[in-house]
Amino acid sequence: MNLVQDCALPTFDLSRPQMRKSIWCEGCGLGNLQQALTKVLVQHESKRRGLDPDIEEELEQIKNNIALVSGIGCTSRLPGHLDVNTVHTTHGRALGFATGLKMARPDLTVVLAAGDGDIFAIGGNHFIHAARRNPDLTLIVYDNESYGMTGSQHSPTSPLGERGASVPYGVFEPPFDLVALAQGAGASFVAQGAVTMSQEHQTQLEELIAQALEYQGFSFVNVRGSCHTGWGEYNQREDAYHYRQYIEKRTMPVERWRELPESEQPHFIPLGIFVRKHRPDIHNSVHYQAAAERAKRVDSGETLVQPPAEQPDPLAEFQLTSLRFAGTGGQGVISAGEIALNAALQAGRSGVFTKNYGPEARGGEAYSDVIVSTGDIHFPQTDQLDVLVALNQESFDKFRDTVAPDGTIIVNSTEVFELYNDSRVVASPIGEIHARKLNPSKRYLGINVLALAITLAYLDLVPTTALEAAVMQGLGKKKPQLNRKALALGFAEAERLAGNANGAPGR
Amino acid sequence: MAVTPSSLNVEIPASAPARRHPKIDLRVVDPVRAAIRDGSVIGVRRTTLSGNDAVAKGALEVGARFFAGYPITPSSEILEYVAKHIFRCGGTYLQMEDEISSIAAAIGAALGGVKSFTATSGPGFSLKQENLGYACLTECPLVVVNVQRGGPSTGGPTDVGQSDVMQARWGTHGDHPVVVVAPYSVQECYEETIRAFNLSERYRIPVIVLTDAKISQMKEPVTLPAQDAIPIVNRAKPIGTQQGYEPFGLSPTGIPPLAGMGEGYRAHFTGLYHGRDGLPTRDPKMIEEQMLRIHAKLETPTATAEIRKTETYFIDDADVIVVAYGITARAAKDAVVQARREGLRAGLLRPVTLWPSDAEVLPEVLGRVRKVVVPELNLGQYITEIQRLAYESARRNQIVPPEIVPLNRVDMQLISPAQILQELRS
Ligand code: SF4
Repeated sequence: MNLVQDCALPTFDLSRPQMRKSIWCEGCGLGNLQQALTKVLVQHESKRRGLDPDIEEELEQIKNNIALVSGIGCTSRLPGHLDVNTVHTTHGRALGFATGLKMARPDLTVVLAAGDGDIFAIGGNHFIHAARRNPDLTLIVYDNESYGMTGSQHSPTSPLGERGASVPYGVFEPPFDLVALAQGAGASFVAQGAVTMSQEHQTQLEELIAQALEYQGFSFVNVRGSCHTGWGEYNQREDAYHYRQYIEKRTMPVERWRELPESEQPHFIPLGIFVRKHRPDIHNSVHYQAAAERAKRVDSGETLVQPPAEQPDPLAEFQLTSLRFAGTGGQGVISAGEIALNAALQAGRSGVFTKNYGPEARGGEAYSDVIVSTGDIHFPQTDQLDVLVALNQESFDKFRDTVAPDGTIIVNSTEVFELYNDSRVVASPIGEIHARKLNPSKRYLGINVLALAITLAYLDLVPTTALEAAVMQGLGKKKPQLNRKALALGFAEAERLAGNANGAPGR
Repeated sequence: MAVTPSSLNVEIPASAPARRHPKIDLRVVDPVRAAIRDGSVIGVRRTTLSGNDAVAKGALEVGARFFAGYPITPSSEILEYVAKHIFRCGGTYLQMEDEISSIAAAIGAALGGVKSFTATSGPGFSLKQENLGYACLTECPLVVVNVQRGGPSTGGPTDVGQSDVMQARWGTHGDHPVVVVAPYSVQECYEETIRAFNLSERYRIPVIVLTDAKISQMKEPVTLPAQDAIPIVNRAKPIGTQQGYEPFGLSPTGIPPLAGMGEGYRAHFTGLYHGRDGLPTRDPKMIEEQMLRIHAKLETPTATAEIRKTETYFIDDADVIVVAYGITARAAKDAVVQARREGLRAGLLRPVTLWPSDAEVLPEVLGRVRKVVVPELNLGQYITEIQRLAYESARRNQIVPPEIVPLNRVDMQLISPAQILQELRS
């Protein structure tokens, strides 16, 4: 099916009047590329949106919905010449800009025009990822096998042995195999055209661009073209006509090229469509749709509450308590800290929670710190801890020295045997209560809530109702029965400990 | 002294008569509390959040509908929060292939007409600088979050630092306007992100939210305004004839209206010097006009009133002050409170907007105090701005400038209240 309906069709004038004088060298193939692109863009858009470009208002609408994005280089000046939405970005990054634009505005037709250095060298990473990610973009690369604008340095497509400003003795690093590169990265539409002296090639180029625009997904058209004033100067092709003929002579249809022995293939320029297979673009892919659908089911679950009471005079003394919950990774000491912070919130206290971040937290030992206060908390840490909750021997040994002389250390005596006669210790068989009375389905499940209930109730830091609310609105939602039981057991144990403390402080 | 908790987290019954909340005023420090104080608040949302979550939540609530990011400690939770919630808000996001394409994608979406942002930390911020300059010159509304960590280079990925203060101001090449805000609490991460978006939309500039590893990771209770109390600024759009739309034209405010794509006002954006029409120019007069305009638009009385934000804490009668921002200001507050309890006339100046520096409050206070302590988790960056302002103000008023004392730490530990207090006492 031929998409370009009629070669004789008038080319609609998309040019910006102020930009008719271009910076391009006379005779450069970029002019032909611009011509081809202009023509098929209008055709494509009018077909896509059912608009008639002969009617002025409809032509306006066509222009309004096209975005042309480019990077840096000769080719990247192309968008500026055309009266559509145009973004001339930074070197190599056009695909990043265009991807964001298309993600946010899928309604627009987004097309890129850029050079080989721009896309395959500095922008190489974005090229392979665009091919993989498959946004509905059309990328047209004018591949003159060199950097034109900066003065004939070699690019990732320069042929071995040819000369340039940065390779005075010949190119000595091999070029990319673009088709393999694009295909390997996942591109599902890959084509190559050329700007030569032949009208046939021009017609073919239009057709290839039209097919690429029609393709839903990432489509890539490489356009082999000349740079007679630059690369040509170094390689005896300084005449535009001559350079174009040099390209033309070596072209052949991709179907024929594929039949050539592999050793001969590099000497020719295959033209046509290399790859075209159906693959839904990112917006229409099953997985994107599914993720977006799943995400919409998340409930923000927010309610309005009455504003909190006014804060006290900053110079007044207020109560401030710092706590550390420490144990092994599985004992849930991080969430214990988070619940404690929520309990502070429920009780109208201020609070700060910090988790230990880094290798320590990922290995065996874990801990979290919480400061609870009746006033504003500024500095988020204290010199010494007021309270340490040590669920195992290692954490007791490690953090004992950071507790204030008049502080409290609540120790899980089921796992901590060596207490060093520390007078700050309040020993509670947390592990045993947990195993015997809570009877959890998994080791350590709920032990953090139990320890937290013991600690906060024993110290009378926040009302037990605040802790209950914090637990039941947080992780208690999942296992309400277990957590309610853990709270009750903890409160009872706190009472027992308090009774003990009255008789025999420190046990 | 305990605060009675009884009034807290009492849900407002759904049967209560619906009243619209007046918008909170983000120009004031602690705006939600201020609104509660003057009684204009009926209901609030109370929860606990991390600094990173608060940034992301603020962004979504002020209308950000596109985010592109790349995983980097300690900012990744912003990407993760967005991934979880942005679809629900009607937006979308991508984890891009690198830091450079992340900011590129965010700018692409922003120029398309969608509020966008990206987030990163030190090394990633370095990588974003070229495109940040592109956003400056194309006057693209954009928010970039930089969660500061130790540097240079990989430094301390999980450790706190404040060493990107100058990079935030001058990171990209060339003279460029930029606004940098530095929240010091989780609550302020939320508020300042909202303000950052509003400033970026109003003034067509990228705004940088500069937090740090500590604030980003810690959790605090927050009091959020009801959704309808959040002030939301959207970029001014062109009106009238589409022919001859000038995306960089002159206007009384200096801020040209910005059309979204597809709205009929077709424009060209380029990182080249350009004229009012957006097309490349090499006309010296036009280049100068545009370069001066993009700076001047932030210097009008309306702009400065909205952009500047400095907390003054016990400043009125102070003779020795701390100038501190971000996490370090929290130690400074404790130090000032303690010093006051000891009878010292101590105070704190806390720039919430770091850049442009507050040319009203800072010189005024610096011109009447004896001593200024500038604690920073770097080897002395913002202090150079404080010195500049203090010396300039002293010269203008023909007075002796105050003694300006640096207090620096780069061992990845916080500066403590005790350290600052010691300087206040001496
Ligand atoms: S330098 Fe080469 S590619 Fe660039 S405009 Fe001139 S001929 Fe064309």
